[in-house]
Parts: sequence; structure tokens; C-alpha cells
Amino acid sequence: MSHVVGNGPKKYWTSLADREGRLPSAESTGEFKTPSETPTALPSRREFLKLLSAGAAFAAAGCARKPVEKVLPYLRAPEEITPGNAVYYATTCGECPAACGAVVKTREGRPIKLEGNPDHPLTGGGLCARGQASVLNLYDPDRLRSPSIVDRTTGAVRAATWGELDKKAVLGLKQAAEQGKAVILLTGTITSPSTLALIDGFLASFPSAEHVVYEPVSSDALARAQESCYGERIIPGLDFGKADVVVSLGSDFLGTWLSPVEFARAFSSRRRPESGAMARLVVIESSMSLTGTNADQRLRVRPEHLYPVAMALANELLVREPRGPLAADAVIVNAVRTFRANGVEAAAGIPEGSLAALANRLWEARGRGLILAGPQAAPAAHAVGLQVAVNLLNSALGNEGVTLDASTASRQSAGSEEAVTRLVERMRAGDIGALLVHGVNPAYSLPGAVGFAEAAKRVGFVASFADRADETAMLSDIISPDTHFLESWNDHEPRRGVWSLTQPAIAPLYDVRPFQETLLAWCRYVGTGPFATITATWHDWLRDRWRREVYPAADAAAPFELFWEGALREGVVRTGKPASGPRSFRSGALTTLPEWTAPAEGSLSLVLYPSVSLYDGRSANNAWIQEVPDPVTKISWDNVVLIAPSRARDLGLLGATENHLSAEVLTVDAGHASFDLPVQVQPGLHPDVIAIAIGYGRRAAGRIGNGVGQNAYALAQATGGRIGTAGIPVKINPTGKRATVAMSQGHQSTEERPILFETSFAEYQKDPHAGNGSHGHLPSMWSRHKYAGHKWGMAIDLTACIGCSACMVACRSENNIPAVGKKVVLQGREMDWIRIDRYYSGDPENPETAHQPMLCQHCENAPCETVCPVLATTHSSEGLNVQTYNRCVGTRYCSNNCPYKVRRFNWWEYSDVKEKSLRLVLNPDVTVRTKGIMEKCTFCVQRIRDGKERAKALGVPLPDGDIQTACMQTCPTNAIVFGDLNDPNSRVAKLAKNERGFTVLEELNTLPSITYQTKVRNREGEGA
Amino acid sequence: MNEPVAASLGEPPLIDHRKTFADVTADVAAPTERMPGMMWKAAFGVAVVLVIQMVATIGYQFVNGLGILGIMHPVGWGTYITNFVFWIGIGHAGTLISAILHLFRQRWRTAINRSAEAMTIFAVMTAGLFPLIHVGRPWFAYWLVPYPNWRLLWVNFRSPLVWDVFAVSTYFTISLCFWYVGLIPDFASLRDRSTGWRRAIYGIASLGWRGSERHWQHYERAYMMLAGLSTPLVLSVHSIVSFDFATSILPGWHTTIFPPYFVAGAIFSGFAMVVTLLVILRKVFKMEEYVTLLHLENMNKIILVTGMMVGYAYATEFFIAQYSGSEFERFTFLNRAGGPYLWAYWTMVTCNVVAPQVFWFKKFRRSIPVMFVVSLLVNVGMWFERFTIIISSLHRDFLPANWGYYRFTFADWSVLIGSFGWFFMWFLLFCRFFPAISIAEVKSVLWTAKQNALPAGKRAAGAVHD
Repeated sequence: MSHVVGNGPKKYWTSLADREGRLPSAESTGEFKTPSETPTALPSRREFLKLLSAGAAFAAAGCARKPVEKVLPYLRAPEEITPGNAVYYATTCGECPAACGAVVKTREGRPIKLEGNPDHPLTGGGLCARGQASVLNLYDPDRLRSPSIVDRTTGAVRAATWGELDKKAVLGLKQAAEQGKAVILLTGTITSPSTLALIDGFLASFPSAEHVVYEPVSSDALARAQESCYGERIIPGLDFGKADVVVSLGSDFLGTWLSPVEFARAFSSRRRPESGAMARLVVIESSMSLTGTNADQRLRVRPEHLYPVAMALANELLVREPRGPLAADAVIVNAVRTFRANGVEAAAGIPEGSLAALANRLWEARGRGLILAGPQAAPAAHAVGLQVAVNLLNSALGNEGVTLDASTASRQSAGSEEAVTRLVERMRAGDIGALLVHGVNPAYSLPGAVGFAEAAKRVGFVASFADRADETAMLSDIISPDTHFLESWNDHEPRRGVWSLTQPAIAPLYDVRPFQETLLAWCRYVGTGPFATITATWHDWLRDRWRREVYPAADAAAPFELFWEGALREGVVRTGKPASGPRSFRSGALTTLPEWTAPAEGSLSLVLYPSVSLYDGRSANNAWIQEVPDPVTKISWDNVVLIAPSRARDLGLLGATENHLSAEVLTVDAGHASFDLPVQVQPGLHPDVIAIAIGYGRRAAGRIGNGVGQNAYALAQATGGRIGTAGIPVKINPTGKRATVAMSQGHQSTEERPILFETSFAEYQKDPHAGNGSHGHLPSMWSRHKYAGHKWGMAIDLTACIGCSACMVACRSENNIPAVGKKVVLQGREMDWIRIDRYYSGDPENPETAHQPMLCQHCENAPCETVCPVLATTHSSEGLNVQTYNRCVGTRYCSNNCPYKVRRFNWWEYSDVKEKSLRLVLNPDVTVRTKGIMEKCTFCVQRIRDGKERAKALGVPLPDGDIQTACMQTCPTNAIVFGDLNDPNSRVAKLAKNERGFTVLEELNTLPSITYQTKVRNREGEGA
Repeated sequence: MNEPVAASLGEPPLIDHRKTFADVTADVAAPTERMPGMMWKAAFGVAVVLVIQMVATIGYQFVNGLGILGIMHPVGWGTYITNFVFWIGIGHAGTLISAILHLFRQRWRTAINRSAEAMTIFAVMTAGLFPLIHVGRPWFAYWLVPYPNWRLLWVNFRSPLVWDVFAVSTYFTISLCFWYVGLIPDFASLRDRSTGWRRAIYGIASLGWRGSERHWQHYERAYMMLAGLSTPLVLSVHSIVSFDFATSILPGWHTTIFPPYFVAGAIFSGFAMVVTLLVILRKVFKMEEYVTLLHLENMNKIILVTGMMVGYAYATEFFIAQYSGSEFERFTFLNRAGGPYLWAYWTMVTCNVVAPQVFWFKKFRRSIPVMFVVSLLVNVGMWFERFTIIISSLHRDFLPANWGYYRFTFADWSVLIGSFGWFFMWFLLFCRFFPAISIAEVKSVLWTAKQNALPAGKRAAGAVHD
């Protein structure tokens, strides 16, 4: 902006100062800096706003990735961004291969929360605890901030440039090709068809290249059994919505197996007693899984007995009392003949006649049943056998083609145990020239016996795409950090015909590059193969592929541009599915099964299981995930040795108790590996079983996840191409030491208090009020509050709640609730506004379990309100019990007087987040709380305001269901309903008056705004 | 004051009859007029060190948060509130001795009322610390006071914590006035005996007292009125403190017996503390002739009575819990006696109910070592009574999922011990600079004074005249 009048266009001046050049120019004030090429460090506010507007700009302008460098000043922000208003983008959760539909909420361009996508045909608005927490991974300060080069001898990691990294990669890949050695791409399950296609193209660039898929939580046996029984290596689509009877043989389908959100949603849709019918869940398992806690009938067996139990069920159906066409197949009959139910029952220690009864029940419900088996069969050689037996049962009962559908096969677990163990052997033999590792962490998760770390040293070139210097990345030459899923493009086809998109909700925070982009770049630099001359970016390529593959299949009327925009908006597209039908069972599959031998009586059998919170350990550095107590053990920040009460008594072990949050430390010795871990007594565990969660004991996860618990993968077995995670013979020896265990629920029984009520379905059908006692009129000296407008309330169905704890993380994310760490949880100072109380009843060896979400009850006669000396907690005109943080002095009297103890005190300063990147995840609509004040559930008052304002702006009455609290939104089973109790037609008002409704501690006359629905169990022998 | 009846019943004299008025003044004033001994210096040094470490702990807490304490979820109140109730309780004996015994003409109180009142003042000063430091944001503790402000914020008069503010501050103010009024003639005595700056200070403190008839008349009236004002406070303060618990809905707290039970307990612990202090005081400052075994025995009798009252209250609580039919109530009390905090409960019962029973025997009532040990035990027991009420009720309340176990931390110990340091620091300063025994009032119970009150012919031989 020169003032000199020269040859240029005529220049007008505004003042003398301007004319004389005394006005500062935009450049000199730094008002508009030259845009940086790529963000190297954490963006400053200005830079951040630029990136966000850019992100939104290209999302709006047809989602072109190229213009990322061309930033616009915020003054010309895209229309869709209004400061203060949230913008939601449909995406797909990338936390695990289940690939649930998600919506990401962004504020001023930064993603702050994930929610389930209500339009998704599989997950329908639900999202699990891990999915909810995955937004925090985006801001993880321990992520790599640039491409890095690792010194394999010392393990030192240093930052590099992309040029340097690509050069090294191309050199490594070319060398491998020149030496005639294989290039291996080792990945986890990839549900993205476009990525898979791109991988194929990448591999074609090399003379000898292979894609090896490995999944630590493996469904390999299931796929292999499908192959041997039906001829196709797939994982069938499961439809719990059509199943009247579900029998799970060690499959934790509500917690960790394949696609828990989808399954929980479909399963719970059949668990509504009001509908007049209710599915029954029978769980046969060795450890206590989340699914097991929801079972109507639960049988405990050793993992070695899962296979004979399945075969005995087949025997009942096909031999002892031959039913159905398969009973005529001599091969089948021969194979199952030896598994007599009474013999198996006696050996497995389950009640006599229970298998016959179960078989009869399944036969009655033939074509409406579903039998599943998880990865818990033991020994590993029987894993496929168990799945074959399950296939046989499903085929014999006519469930195949109805509740199991091959035409909508799942991509959600694709690993092959044999392939990965063979790969390590080849690495050891020096056959592998280059190993590229994406999305898995074999150095951590492969059993020690496989020897991945040693074998990796014999590979000429190892590259990692991890977002951090994890255990495997430390063994690599280069780390090309992949983006977080919220920073990049992707597509997913979790089930055949269900396509969803991932779109970047923010420009990459650091100097990282999508995995696919890196592959394309390397193809270009290597200069051979189909992508040698490719110029397209990953986004172009993806979009082009959708134009060619998905668009025609979707049979859309609109032109592709509109279709694409629609797909981005909706997040999900369905393509026509081929006709389904039952596949015929190949009885030959039964002939190749190994002989079954009984386990030694009383010997200890170790079961490794993925925990609902940490799963396989991929996000161990996520404090939200670590802080969620395991829904079954209620322990956070640790894995422990779980042991049955009777066994513990015999061994004189107590475990952690309410009064002593420390437990005896045992040495767990599997022969090939051992470690020390505290013990915990777990009701429902088989006495001959000890169970340990995997996913812990990370060494290179980051500051949060390192050294939390022990790596139980180390104890897994690797024999005959199978990785055995159950039935591992193990010895336990007391060390005489004790270690602390952060258990957030000390007492496990309701002590028969009027806290939660339950009944059986048979009783419910006789009397809908069954179980929940009388609702006598409670006298009061006071007149009740008057609520002129709204009166907010909630209904929680204890029958639907499975205890998955997604609501806890959703609430944490929505309401800026700090994760406090193990030491503070040990002191009972966790900050959760909603928690799941898990109570056992009946026989401690095999108890019945009830999960009860507990949050502020927003009482009409709130005991907290009367005792606050400074009126910091008061009653709102809409029935909310509101907390004024500014006014709170912190006497904690309100908490003492709260019968539900749902108030949480800030014992330390949590609002001052030290890591700057973690501040970005905070929800700007919710105040952060300073030390010394009380906080609690607000019924997501910010969402209530938002909903009311939206309705007001539209000039319509607030529609029921428009305001969803964070817990309600994410609940996979729709157990939580929020709404206006003053609106007689609202769902919540109807549920509050429902026969099953009750309030907790009713006789205190606190008049809670939350109505719970009696838990109904569909027990065996108590009617359908 | 004429007490021929008492004399004729053969009651032993409260003070050795050989003491003259001059002796009394000299004896009581002595500790204020000489440099304190090693014992005093050592004790004061320890007290100050304890206070300093407490201040450091509290300072750390202010900066970093209440997390340094053992309180947690669900036990929101811990040692701080226990200490508060404990020290408020201690503060009861002083006013009881001064006011109620004064109104009932219990003249034996004269030798002990000054130190008992001082104890009250310092105990309330100690107690008053805790509501301030126990809140999460102590810098806003003044919000509990209803003061006019432009934000139009007001306090919640339904909250017992607000009642506490009034109850405790009123009690402190009246007790202070009462104590000070009693001190005026004695300050004048000290003034008259001293020179230099001490004389100036005692002169100001004595508010121009000249001992005229008018002065005495006003003094007696004021004293009587303040005694009348204080008397209901003895009952009200601890009743209101007990409302902190009784008006809540927590089983174990929500109890109608609490006001009398707390008052009895307060008197019990207050007297025990007076005995502890006087046993030391009379020894260290050689005042055995003024604070005699008769005084101590009387107090031990009160300890025995109030000890049985609290014992009765403990039993009543159990009965009512059972009788109420409420499963929560029943559980809470069974949990007190048999739960994880049974050690605290049975410590309380042993110290408060069993230990005072030795006072049925005159020998023990008059034995200095026995009463000293028992008084200490009672104080321990009364601390545990508050601990039991607060913690054992909170740690297992309505929903079993909430249950937890509260543990002390270093900070809890630091402030508990520091509070004793704080109390003793003030008390030691009092002993050093104030007349620890009411000179004027003791003179009124001297044998000489009685003789003077008799017609000249009936006076005993050797009686000193004026």
C-alpha cells in the first residue's frame, strides 16, 4: 500500500497521515500474515481460525483437498460458520473397525465431540465409550508432530522433513524390490474399500508384495469356519433384531465383539417388555463379560468346554432327538454323536438338563434364534471347531439366512492369525525386504512367543504409519504419522451395502499426512506400477472411485455432484444388496476337526479378554478411556487378575474391597512369560479360570498409557498358526506384596434397598407393576412446585441399559469433565456426572447383574438445595436443579445431603489444562470449573437452551425429542429418554407414568425428575 | 454474701482460711509479674511450632485445593468439621461455669471460672478457624454473612450453616464481653501493682476502674445481665451446631435427639478440658491453694453425670434406629458399632461411657493422676464421637454403590495437631499476661470475707479485718 503516486492507478488518500505514509499497513502490523505452508507446531489462534475457515471452505466447495494452502481471512468466513454456533459434519468413527456412523460437532472449526449418526442404518445414533473418547486422540499431545526418522539401533526418534522421509522410504522399498525380497504391508482391519483398492495398486508397484491383515482381537476362527462350512471366508451380517433367542458362547457382542453398538441397538430393540415379546439371552462363558452381565441365563464353563457344549447342543438337536433336515446327514450325526449332553454337562459343571432345555428352546425358536461364539475357545486348535459347531447349530435351526446373512457380510474383523505368524517367520528367515505397518502394533500385541521384535531386526526396511512412536514404530526406520480420522478423508463399508464417508473436520493439527496420501506419494517416487504417474490426491482418488463404484450401485437419480454432497451430508449411503438366502452347510467341515480332550481337573485356565474400555490397547493413551471404569469390574487405570470367589476363598485371597483399595499381587506365570498383577475377586467367573484384560501394559503409548497395568498379550500362546488367548495353562503365586486398585464402586450389592427393582417377564405379563413395589402417596407439609412452561425429566430403562458406559464418556466430552488419574480415583474423587452402578444379586459364584445409570435426579424436593448456605444450588422454573459455580463457596454440604451422592467436588484445580492442545477439546458452551466448587449433572442445560432457542427462531413449539442430553444421544440401546414432563404426549411423560416406572429412594420424597423402568429379566422356565 | 447455713453444715472452706486478700492478689498476679519459667517457654515454643506448621498446611491447601485432605466422595466432611464441633464443644464449659453456675450461686466456680472462660474464648477461636478453612474457596467464606451488596445476593436462611454463622459469632461475642467484664477489676489490681508500660497497658485494659461502690454496682449488674444472656447461648450454640446434622436427611445425622445430646456432650468435653487445664495450671503456677481438690471433685461429678447422659444418648440412638423401622437408620447404627469404623465407635464408648465411671469413687474423684487421665480420655472420646457421627454416617449412606472408606492424610493430622497448638498458644499467653484466677471473686469466698460479713462479735479469732 504505497502512498507514492507513480505510474500505477490513481491513489486516493483518506487523511494527510495516509498520504504521507504514516498509517501502518496491514503487513506491518502483522494483521494479515503470509499463510504458512503447513502448520508445523500447534496453530496459533489466528492460524487456527484460518485453517478452520479453509477446512469449512473446501468442505463446502465440493470438498476439494487441494486448496488447503489457500487460506481466506476470517472476515470472509464461509456462510455455514457463525461464531458461537456449532457445525455438525457426518463422518465415520475410526476408533475401531466397527466403523459406526458418527456426527462430529465442531465449534469455530475444531471438533469437540462425536455423536452417533442417527441416520446410520446399523448404529442409528449410538456410539460406544471408545468412540466417544476418540475425539480426544485428535488432541493427544503425545502424537508425533512431524515425520520422524528412527535410529533402529538406539531407538532414538528425530523429526524429519517429508522429503527426507520419502527419500528414505523409496530407497528402502526399491532396495527390497531389487533384492527380490517381499514388500509387506501389515495392517489392521481396514473397512475402507477405497483404501483397500489403493493398497492393491500400491502393492502392484512391486514385484513381490503382499497385504497381511492382523487384528489383535481376532475373529479369524469365525471367518475360517465360515469358509469351511459355507465356502466363503466372510463374517456374516448378524441381525439381532430378528432373534428371539440369542445364545452366546463366549462372545461379548454387547461389549467388544465385532460391532457392539450395532448389536446392542438391535438386541435391545427386542428387549422391550411393553411390546409383549422379549428376546432371551443365554450366555455360556468362562469369564464375566459385559454380555454375561446382561444374560437371562448364564452358564459358567471353562473355555475348554465351550466346544463340547456347542457340540452337545447339536447332539441334542440332531442325535438324541433328531430334528430338522440336517439330522439325516450321517457325517454330521457321526461327528456330534460322542458329545452327549449329560456327559458334557457333568464334565463342564453345568446343571443337568440345561443343555437339553436350551436345545428345545432353540428348536421352538428355530429360524428366530442366533447362536454366536467368540474368540474364547480353548485350546486354540478348537477355536475353529467351536465356530463350526455354531454354524452347524445355526444351519440346523434354520437361523442361517435369517439372523445370519451372508449377503450383508461384515468387514469389521479381517485379520488372519496364520498370516501374521507366517509373516514373522518369513521376517526371521530374512525373506522380507520391506515391512510397512499401519493401524496395528504387533510389537506390543503379538504374543512374546512369536518374536516380532527380533524378527523385525532382520527386515531391511521397516516403516510405521503410527501417529506416535509406539512399540512397533520404535523398531522402524521411519515413522510417517497418519492423520487422525477427523483430519482426513476416508470411506467405510462395515457391512456389505452400507457405505459411509469420513470427511476432515479440521486441517491436520500437526505436520502429518494421511496414510493413503503417503502410499500414493511413494508410488509416484518409486515410479513403477499403476500409480507411477498418478497426480491425484487421496481425496480426488476417493471421490473418483465413488463416482465409478458407489454412485452407480447406489442407483441415485441425482447427478454425481449432488449425490456426493448428499453422501457427505448424510454420512451414509446404501447400495442395493443382493438377495439373501440360507447357505447350505457343508458337513465335511466337521470331519477335519481335531479330537477333543478333557482339561485336567481343577487346573487353572487363563482367559485373556479385551476390556470394554481399552479394547486392544490402541488408545491406551486416552485418559477418558483409561478413566472409564470397566463396566464389569468397575476398575479403572489398571488390569487385574480376576479370580472366582470360591477359588479366592480357597487361596485366601481377598482382592480389593471397599475399605482397602489394594489387593494381593500375584505372579501370573504361563511358562513362556510371567508378570505380577494385583488380584480381584470377580463374581461369575468360573472357579478354574482366571481372566486378565488385554490392552494394558503399553510401554510406548504416551504419558498417560505407559506402564498402566501389564501387557497380557505376552501370556498368549502361538501354536500352529493360531494365537491362543484362552485356556492358557497358568500358575499363580502370591508375592506377598500389595498394590492399589482403583475401584470406583466399593460395594456390589443393593443390600435389598429400594434402589432398583426387577422382575421376570412372566411376572411382568401378569402384572406390569410387578417388582417395583407400591407407590403409596407420600404426605408432605409443603405444596409442590409449579412449573408453568417446561418441566424437564428423564426416563431410564434398566431393561435396556447394558452398562456399556458410553454415556459416561459422552458426558465427560460434552461437559468438560476432567479425567483425574488413578491416584485420585483411588481417593474416590473421580468427577463423572453420570456413572453406572453395577449391582450383583443371588449366588456370588454366578450372580445376576443389574446396571443402573446414576446421575443427578433433579429432585423436586432437592435435599441439596435447602442446605446450601449461599444459594449456589437452586431450583429452576423448569424443574432443573441448577448449580451456580460462581456462587459456590464449597461447603460440600449439598453432597453430604444428597442421597444419591451424584455431586462432584473439585478437589484440585482441573480447569487449568496444562497441555495446550487438550484445551481445544473443551466445549465452549460449558464452563470449566475451578478448584473448590461443586459440580454435577445439569441435564445438559446448554443443549436445552440451544433447543429452545432453535425452536424460538423457527417459531414452532419445541418438538419432543429435539433436545437430547449427551448421555441419551449416545446410548446404543436407547435406554435414556429425556424430555418435557409437562407435555403429556412426550415420550418421557408417558414413560414416567408407565407401570414399570419407579423413582430411586422414593420414600425420601425427594420427587426425582428421573423415572427408572423396572428391569425385566426373561428367565428360563418362567414363560416365553 | 452471707452463708451461715453452708458454714454450719460443715462444708469445707473453698480456699484455705489462712489466705488474706493481699495473699490472693499477690499469688494470682505473680505469674504476670515475673519472667516465665522454662516449662512455660518450652510449652509456648512447642505450641508456636505447631501453629506454624498448621499455617503452612493451610497455606498449601489454599493454593492447591482441598485435595490434600482425606475427604472424598462420599465423605464430604472430615477432620475439619470434627475439629469444629469438638472445639465448639470444649467452648461450652466456660460459659456454663461462668454464667449458669453464677446464676445458681455455685460459689466454688470462682476459682476456676476465669480460666474456664479463657478456654471458651480460645476454643471458639480455634473452632472458628475450621468453617473458614474447610470450604473450597475460603476467600469467599464471607458470602455466608448476609451483607447488603449490589449484586443482590443473599444467603439461604434455610441452611443450618447460616444459622451456625450467627450462633457461633454471637456466642463468641457474648463470651468475650462476659470474660472481659469479669477481668476489669482484676486488671485494675494488676495496674495498681505494676509500673511502666505494663501499668499503662493494664490501665487501659481496666477502663479506669477505681473500685468505687458505683463501679461495683454497675459491674455486678452488667455481670449478671451478661450471665443471663449467656445462659441460653450455652444451650443454643451446640443445639444449632447439631442442626448441621439433624436437619439433613442422612441416616445417623437426621436425629431429633441431637440438640440435647450435643449440649450434654459439649458440657462433658468442656469440663474434661477444664480439668485437664487446671490440673496443669495449678501445678505450674502453684495455685493448688486456690484450685483445690474440692473444685476438681465437683467438676468430676459433672463429668460423671454428663458422661452418663451421652451414654444414654448413644443407647437411645440405637433404640430409635431400631424402633424407626427404617432400614437405612438400622444399618447406619449397626455399621457404626460393627462396620469398618468400629474402632472409632468403641474408642468413643470406652472413653466417654466407661472411663468416667471411676468417678463413682471418691478416692478417684480426688486423685489428680486418675482425673487427669480420665479427662484426657474423655477428650479423645469426644473427638471420636464427632468423628463417628460425621464419618460413619457419610461413608455408607443410601446407595451402596457410593460407599467408600475415609482415611486421614498428613494434612488432616497437621491441622488437627496444629489446632491444639493454636489453642494452647493463646492459653499460655493468657496464663502469662492475665490473672488466671478471678482475684475479686475469689476474695468473696475467702474465710476472711465471710468473717467480715458477720457481726463483729461473731467473727472468729484471727480474722483479718479489711
